[in-house]
Amino acid sequence: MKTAKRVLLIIALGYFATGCWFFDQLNPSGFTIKTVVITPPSPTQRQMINNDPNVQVIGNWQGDNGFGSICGSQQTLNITTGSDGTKRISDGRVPAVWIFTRSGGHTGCGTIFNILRAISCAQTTTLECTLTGSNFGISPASIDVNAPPATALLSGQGLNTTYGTPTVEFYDEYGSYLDGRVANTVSSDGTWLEATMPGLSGAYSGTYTIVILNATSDGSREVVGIATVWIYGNDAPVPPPDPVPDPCLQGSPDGPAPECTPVVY
Amino acid sequence: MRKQTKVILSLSVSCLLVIGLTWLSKSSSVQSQSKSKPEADGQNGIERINAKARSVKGPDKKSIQDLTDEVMNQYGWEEAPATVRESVRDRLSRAEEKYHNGNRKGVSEIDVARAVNALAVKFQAPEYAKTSPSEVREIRGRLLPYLPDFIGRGPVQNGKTKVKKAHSAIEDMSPVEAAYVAMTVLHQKVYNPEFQLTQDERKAVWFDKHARTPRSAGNAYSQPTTGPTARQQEMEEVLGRAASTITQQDAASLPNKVLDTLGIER
Repeated sequence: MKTAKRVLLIIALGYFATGCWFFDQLNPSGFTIKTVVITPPSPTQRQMINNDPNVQVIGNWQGDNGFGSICGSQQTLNITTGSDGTKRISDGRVPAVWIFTRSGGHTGCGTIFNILRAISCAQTTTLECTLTGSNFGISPASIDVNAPPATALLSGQGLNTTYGTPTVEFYDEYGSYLDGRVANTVSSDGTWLEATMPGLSGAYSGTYTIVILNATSDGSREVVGIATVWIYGNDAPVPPPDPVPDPCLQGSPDGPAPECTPVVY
Repeated sequence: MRKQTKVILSLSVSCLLVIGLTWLSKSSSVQSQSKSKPEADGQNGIERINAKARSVKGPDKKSIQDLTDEVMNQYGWEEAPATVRESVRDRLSRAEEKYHNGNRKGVSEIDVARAVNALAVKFQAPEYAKTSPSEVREIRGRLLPYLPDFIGRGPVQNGKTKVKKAHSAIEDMSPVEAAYVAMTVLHQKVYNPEFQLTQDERKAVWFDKHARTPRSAGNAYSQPTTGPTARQQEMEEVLGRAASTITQQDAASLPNKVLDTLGIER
């Protein structure tokens, strides 16, 4: 009876506290594939990595690699990553070098061949797609803040004047809204528009986002396209080095603001 | 020796229990999840989130739940136990409805930073895993071109948003946007070397990127990934350690604690 109780206690502890980690540690196997999409970086912005779900991945084992025992035996795969962009290959042969092809995912990723990866046991390997741009182009693509053009030409598809003239919204790289403008001219085939530039006085160098909206019958917001433009000629002053003052990092004689006090989970 | 055999036997049984329970929770959720599987509309990932956000024209329960499901699924919530997943989804959806009804405020970047930092402390992650409100805003700014119908959209009623004033800061986040941004920040901290930086390193990088900017954006900063960096590997170890040491009770209550930090009503 006492032994049974002890076994039950161990089961409970094993389940609640450890799960199956013990066996994973004893016998790690396979690897995980993660498909991601990388937003294009710019001189002032860091690249971002986001999950890219439902991507078809074909992989072939090329050869064993590194020290340690082999975990897994599967040498080829043809899978589709899940809604979070991952897929566990529980019997994949590693440590080894694999070659992958990824197909689909974010618009513009298409098929990417010959992705070579050295993978170790239980590791996550990422297969990237780097985006190249927005769905609308802008001319000029770079603007000197000290001598901005009066207008800009935005070209893409889907512009519609049925319920009114499209508008364009300008945002800085921290999402602050600069201003909006109604287009001056829109092509009859809906592939380009010309809009007056907003005032750029005081704007710092960086990548700015332009959101293009069609007018709708009920006045609701309908985004038809996005463009980005590089603005230069007014580097942000230093100090402060941080463009958005961080209220939780500012020194205060009374200590940090109540909303900045750390949370403990 | 006999004792060791018992321990191994016990752990084997507990493993079977875990597998069994996971299987049960997964199979019981198959029906409820099937509707959130990708549709044959040619959209994927980020585009699908934006499309679902565009469908939210106001405090409409169905479209808000669809958006919440999409956001959660893209960060692996399909794998979570059904009860935890449903609880999080319901809390977020209810708060989102209230937000579009005008009955609650948005979520600030400070709250997202606090939630992320509390997780970093809990799992004993390195200093570079922590974030700040300004970094959260930077990430929102980076997401804006890809999610123009979701990021900083503000409350929506009858498909209309508030008229924006020139030179105004980005709106506070809706509850679902806050959850998405928090998960995106965590994702960068685990997988993206460019965001695995301490505050001091981040300031140095910011200075480097903003001083003497070129006349053209070019494409010079696009670098192919060659393999995981030391920090990426360290963060993967942190995740592995967290997964193996967290109790089930703690794992089940943690999402609700994070939502509490974000100010999402229970």
